[in-house]
Order: sequence, then C-alpha cells, then structure tokens
Amino acid sequence: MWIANLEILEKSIAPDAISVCTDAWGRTATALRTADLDDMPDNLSEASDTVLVLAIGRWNEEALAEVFRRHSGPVYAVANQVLRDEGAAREITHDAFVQLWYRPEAYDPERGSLRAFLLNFSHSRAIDRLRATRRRERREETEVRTGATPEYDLEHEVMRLALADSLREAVDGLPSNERRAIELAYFGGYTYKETAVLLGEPEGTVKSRIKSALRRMQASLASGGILGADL
Amino acid sequence: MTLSHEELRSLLAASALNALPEDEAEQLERHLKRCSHCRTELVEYETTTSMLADPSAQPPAGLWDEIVATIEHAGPEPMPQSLRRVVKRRSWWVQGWAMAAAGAAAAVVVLAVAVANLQGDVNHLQNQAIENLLPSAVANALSSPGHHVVQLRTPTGGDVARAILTSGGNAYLVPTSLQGLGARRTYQLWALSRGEPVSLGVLGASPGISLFRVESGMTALMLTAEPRGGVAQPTLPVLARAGVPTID
Repeated sequence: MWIANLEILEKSIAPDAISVCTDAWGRTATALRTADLDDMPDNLSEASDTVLVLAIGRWNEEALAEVFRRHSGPVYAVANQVLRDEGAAREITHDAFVQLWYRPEAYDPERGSLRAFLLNFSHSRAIDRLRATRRRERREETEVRTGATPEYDLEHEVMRLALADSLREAVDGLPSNERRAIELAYFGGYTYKETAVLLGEPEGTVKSRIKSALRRMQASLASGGILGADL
Repeated sequence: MTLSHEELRSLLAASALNALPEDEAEQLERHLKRCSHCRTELVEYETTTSMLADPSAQPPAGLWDEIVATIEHAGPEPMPQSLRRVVKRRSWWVQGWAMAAAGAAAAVVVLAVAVANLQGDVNHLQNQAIENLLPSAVANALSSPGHHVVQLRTPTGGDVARAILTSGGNAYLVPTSLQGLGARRTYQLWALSRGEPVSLGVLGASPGISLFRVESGMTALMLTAEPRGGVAQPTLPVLARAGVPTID
C-alpha cells in the first residue's frame, strides 16, 4: 500500500531530513502513514483516535462525535478545575472541538495522545483566562501579591476533591513542597516564577520540584497501571 | 536572553503544566521544532499531566448540540450542505497550496540542476518506454527539443513519478513507484494555476502513463488520493508534488 511505501521511504532518509518535513507537510504525512481510510472500521467506536482525526479531516461529523464522546468530559473538567466557572469551561470545551473540526492537522500524533492534545488546549485556554483576570484585578487593586494567598489551603481542598481517586493517591504521595508547586502551577495558573514567589523559594528549586513531582506521579501511575492505558 | 539546551530542557516539566512565562515558552517552542530528545521528554510529562483531569467527568448537557450548530452554520444563514463541504474542504486545502506555491518558486530556480541530474533517468525512461512498447508519444516527447522532466516527490523526498513536459504543452505522467490504492480510491493529478488547484485528470487506483496538458500559469503539479471517480476540489493532502518550469 501507499501508506506502507511512505514508511519505507521515510526510513531510507536521514533523520535530519525527516525533521525538516514539519508542519502541514510532515503532519499530514504522519497522519496518512498512521491510518488508511480504507481500513477504517464501519463502527467508529472501534477506530483509533488517529483514524478519527483523519476522518475529521474529511469532514466526517460522526468521527468528531466519537472524539467528543471519548474526551469531552476530562476536557471540560480540567477547564472547570482551573477556572471554577462552569460557563467558561463550557465555552473552552466548545472551542476545543470546533478547533479540532477546522484544524485537525494541528494534532500531531508524534507529540502525544489526542487526549493530551485536547487537555493541553483546554488547560492553556483556562490558564490564559485566569491570568487575564488576575492582571485586571491587579490593575484594579494596584498591588502585587508577594506572599501565599490566604485562600490557598481552602483551594487546595477543593482541588483534591476534583481529582480522580487514582490520581489523588498519586498527588497525596508527593512530598508536600512538590505537591504545592504542582497545585499552584497547574490548577492555580501561576508560572513557575510566580509559584517560586508564592512559596518563597528560588525559581530553580521550583522548576526542579515540578520535574521531580511529575516523575514521581509518572512512576506511581505506571505502577498502578494507569499510564499506558489507551486514553 | 538566549537559553542553552540544558536550560531549555530544565523548562520542559513546567511547560507541561503551562507554567512558563511567555518569552521562555516561545524559546522552548522554537527549540522543540529541532530537538527530538526534548520533544520526547515533553510528551512524557504531558502524558502525566493529562492524568490530572478526571477521566470519569462528563460534559455539560447540550454541549454537543451547540458544537454541531456551530460547525454546521458558517453564518447567520445556513449554507447548503453540498456547498458548505466544498468551501470548508478548500479552506484547509488552500493552506497546502499556498505552501506549494511558495515552494514552487524555489523549485523552478533549482530545476536546471535537477534536469541535468535527471539525464540518466531520462535515458532509463526512454529505454523503458521503448522496451515496454509504451505509447510512442512518450518516447517522442523525451526526444523532443525543449522538453523538461520533473520528479514528483513525497514530502519525505520519495520519488514516485516523473512528468515529461513538452514545449507544446502536452505532458505525460510516468509513475515510477506508485503503490496501488484500494478499490474505492483513485489517484488524481492537479496543477497549481495562479494559486488555485485545477484538476488535470483522474488516474485510477493503479495508474499507468497518463497524458495531460500544461498551460501557461501552472507552477506546480500535485498528486492526491481521492474517492473513486475523483473530486472537483482536492480533499486529501498532497502526496507528491513537483515544480513546473515556465512553459514557453
């Protein structure tokens, strides 16, 4: 098949030459190599995410519906966890799927799962809104926060409740300084530099803690059989 | 300030949390385009952070209906279904053609070198045409004065077909390593003419040599795989392409 031929062609050229084929050409080729529409199951619920994205590229609305069924809950949840605003989270989730409909080529299977791609869209949009709100509030208050926010502990509890059991275990298993760094950065929407100020620690230390925390969570979730599942 | 590789690498975990300041996020994004090691490491972190969303969460009621309403109505007046599909497919496709147009200009510049390098291939094609008793028109074209031979290449550089362009405008597509498609699909040849895709012919699932015409203003040839019977506007990404020299 043509698809297989493309794979052979790619293997026969230098890695540097492959990396040059980025963006629309490279991504399109990747999608084509990964799935052939002739091989798409009649029942879309059995199709892989990559095949569904390829079908969306051909304006297959049922494929988008299947992606929505699989991933919309977490996409909505992460925006709501960050913003604590159901209306805003709904808008972001809406935009995530409309964006996928019009620009499916933005998803590159080589840069992670479709779930991670959609969640990153949702999370980054939520963070953008949160930061914009903070900037506005700062202008209005004409002051800059220099210490931990008094509502942090309460927020921390709300965040914990929003986590799935398996993940709550992984997060609770982190050393407290790593857990606080993750929560402030991911759910609080603070950059690592802002997180460092909030925690009163050097920026390099916070970067290291975030990295260490993700490594620990990765190990914990993998040992529980969570990571590696087809999400 | 320009960051070193190690400094950029130290930002990956924070990037997976969307916790980088804008300037550092931009530098890292540029770095990721050329560093596969960092891309791989980032994917690992992002896979972990993707677990931070509750996998059992449900979307709000009615959201899917809102999405359908958005994608099915381009404006206040619903567009006819058939027209809507053509317009939307084109909007994605045109990006590819715009890139192709930019690439075609460069392709023409290097064509003289490419044609010189192809001389051996031309001889081979000529022999192949004669040996296999392919249409004598192809052999004539290869020996006609002022003809050009261009290679249709995949995005990864694979050579899948040659096009022989005669000075009179007649042209021949000679597949060299095109794999057969399934029964429900066909190859289709296109030209980029003044920035717009123009169909040059539906070639079938396992094309042989095909005759087509090259007109003034065509700057690139493109090959796509389409549903059987072909389409009015290309709907699949370009599988292979070639720049077209100026036709006298």
